Amino acid sequence: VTLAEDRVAELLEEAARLAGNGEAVAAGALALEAAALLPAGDPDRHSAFASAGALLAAAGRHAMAADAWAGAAADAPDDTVRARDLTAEGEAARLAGMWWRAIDAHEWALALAEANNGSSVETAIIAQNLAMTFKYTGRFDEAESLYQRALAIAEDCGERQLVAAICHNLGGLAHARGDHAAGIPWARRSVREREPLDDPVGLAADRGALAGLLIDAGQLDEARQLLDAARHVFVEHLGDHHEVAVVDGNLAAVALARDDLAAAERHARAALGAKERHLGPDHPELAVTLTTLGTIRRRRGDRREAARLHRRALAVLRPSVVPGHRVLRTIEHNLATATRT
Amino acid sequence: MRTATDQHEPTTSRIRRAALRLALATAVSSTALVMAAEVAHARIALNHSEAAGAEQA
Repeated sequence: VTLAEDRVAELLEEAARLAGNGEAVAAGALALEAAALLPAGDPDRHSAFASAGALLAAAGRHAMAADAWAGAAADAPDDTVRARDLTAEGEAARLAGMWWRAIDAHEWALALAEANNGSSVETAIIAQNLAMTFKYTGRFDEAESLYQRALAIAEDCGERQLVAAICHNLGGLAHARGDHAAGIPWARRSVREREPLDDPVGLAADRGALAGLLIDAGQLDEARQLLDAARHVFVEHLGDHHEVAVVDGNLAAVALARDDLAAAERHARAALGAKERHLGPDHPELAVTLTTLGTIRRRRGDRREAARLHRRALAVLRPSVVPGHRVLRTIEHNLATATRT
Repeated sequence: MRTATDQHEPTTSRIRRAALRLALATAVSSTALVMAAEVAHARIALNHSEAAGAEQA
């Protein structure tokens, strides 16, 4: 029995106590400290890292959670567990805005899952996680192929939640490509698939995503109705949350399309403030809201602030997406309009 | 501070027991956090589709 072992036991016991009290961040930090003191390959090291990852992810500390899951993956007892740890790392990294790291983790997870579990539901979930990260970075063809593969597995296995989620995300992929006509049927199907599942928050997310597509199609009345309903559910169930910010961003786009610039600015500032609180000031998901607000400010006559907002949008998005990404081009066009003399 | 029980227990067993207790508390706690937020779809991630306010071409 060494002093280090005593220390590890004390750290884990205190972490368990804190976790039991709902103090997830403090518990996760102690679990990380304990894991780092244990030798590589020790099964308790994997357990401590995995506990830390779950606690930190649930508390929204996604960057720390990604590191914890990476530690767990390195000490996983077998490749099935390693695949789960890696895709958890990928999800945490994606939510933290570290999209390239997320792709690396999900790709490794998918290779392990395919080798060990073939076309299982687990493989489908990892494939759809990777597909979503490809979508965010602009690797659309790879995303499409993986989503379709995951959808076929989910349909074969009768996994209705997964089918609804993949339909939702195929709609999102079409939205990212600028093809609202292709996306709307997927988004409507996600709503139909979700409606019987007693999942009000998921259904609100589906309706909000459908609204994003309808805005681009100019169907503003239906979009507005869906957004109001989704916002009500999100506020009731989630409170101050990133999901509310996304709805507010879309409400800003509806108001902007209707030339109601005062309302548009109010919604866009609410969206931006909430995203900064939940994601931090440099997260790539701020870019769309920043450029929407920039467009509103330009149309209200403030070209200087408009240009500043568009430049900030480019700065947060450019490192995280492929060159020539559609949203990058939109922001560059918005910036050129704001700075045109 | 060590208890009489701890003094008779090999520390590696104590680590194993604490790690299991932490794993259980984590499962309860993280589930409770997710349930509290009612993010029922947390396991299957959903992307966001936010329309960008674009200037006229």
